[in-house]
Amino acid sequence: MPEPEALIGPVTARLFQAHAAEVWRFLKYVGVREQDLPDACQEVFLVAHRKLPEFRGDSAPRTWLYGIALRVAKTWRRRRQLVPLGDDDRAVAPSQEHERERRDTHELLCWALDQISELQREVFVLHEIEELPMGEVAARVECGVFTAYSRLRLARNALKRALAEKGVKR
Amino acid sequence: MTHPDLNELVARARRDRAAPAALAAVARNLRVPFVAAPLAAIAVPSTAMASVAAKLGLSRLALLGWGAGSTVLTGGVVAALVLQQPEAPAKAPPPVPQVQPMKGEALAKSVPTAELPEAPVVTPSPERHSVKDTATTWDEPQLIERARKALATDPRRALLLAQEHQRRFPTGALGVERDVIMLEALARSGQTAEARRRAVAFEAKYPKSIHLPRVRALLSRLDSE
Repeated sequence: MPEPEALIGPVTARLFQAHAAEVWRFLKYVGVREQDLPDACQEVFLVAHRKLPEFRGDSAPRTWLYGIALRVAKTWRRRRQLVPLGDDDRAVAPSQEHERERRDTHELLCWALDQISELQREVFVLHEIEELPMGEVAARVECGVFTAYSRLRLARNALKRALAEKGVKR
Repeated sequence: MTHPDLNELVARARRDRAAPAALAAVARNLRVPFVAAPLAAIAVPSTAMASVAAKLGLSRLALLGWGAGSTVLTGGVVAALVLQQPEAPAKAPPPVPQVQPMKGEALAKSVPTAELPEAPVVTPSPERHSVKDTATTWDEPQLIERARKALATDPRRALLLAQEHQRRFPTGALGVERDVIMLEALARSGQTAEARRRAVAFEAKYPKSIHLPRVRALLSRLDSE
């Protein structure tokens, strides 16, 4: 049986093997809806395949992928604004208690991240969740390091406020 | 109900992993091979992984999907696999295929090439342990997956399968995974000197590989034996 031709080259395929899980998580916390994650993740690697010749190696491949994922996420967030969120799969009742708890905490953070500005969110997720050094974060979101630190601080404060509010509500 | 604070939420988010099946589905769409949790089932005690990682100052990310298992895996599948692994292969292993040592020079300049130096040809023993029955028809991920599974019980077979992969998919997407399996298989089948040489070559060739903690753990195991 002839093997189907891959849509991405072997180098990008290797990047997928190594970093797909991180890209997936990044997309999720930076605001792509759960049900859009497969498409968005796929798009990141299609773009990576196309842009590979431009990769100069001045950052780690993973960091480079985050840059692509940032732009992909932006378009998906925009689509999300056009199509009302409604009852997406976040409302699906998880079957197991452990799974429920896991989802709850992740959703709580996603919810809080939804409450803050996009620019702050990107810096926060890149630095706090993906653990990129601030220099790299600033390069990815195309701002100065001081600005990035400022956004990080604002993001933390805003998230704490949002979470406090959530705690009061419940 | 009290909620975990921001720091705790972030810590949990760092451990958040996509379901392997979800990633596999994306891989299918892209028509590329994908091993959902690469090599995670190779038994490296999580304590060993942790100590190696700590020594190297590796980020948590480098360990994702690895034997450190229970803390990072969401599916539980791989953790289960890890638990199933016996510590050592059977008491009286069959004769192993001998792999010729690599030349020193070949190792020294192995860094820029696309693949590790070619594995020398194995001379399979006459007993019908060969992979020809099915391995030649498996696709790339299947081959790697079988090799990985064979590591725990039959390193000799794992080695043969890895070599089959090298023959059929010399520029395959899972070449790095194959090299790691080969290292483990060599070490487990008693060819420790060759395993050590290749592990050192691997370190030099893939300084940023996500498999490096495993290779280094293997090296430190070999050193302590």
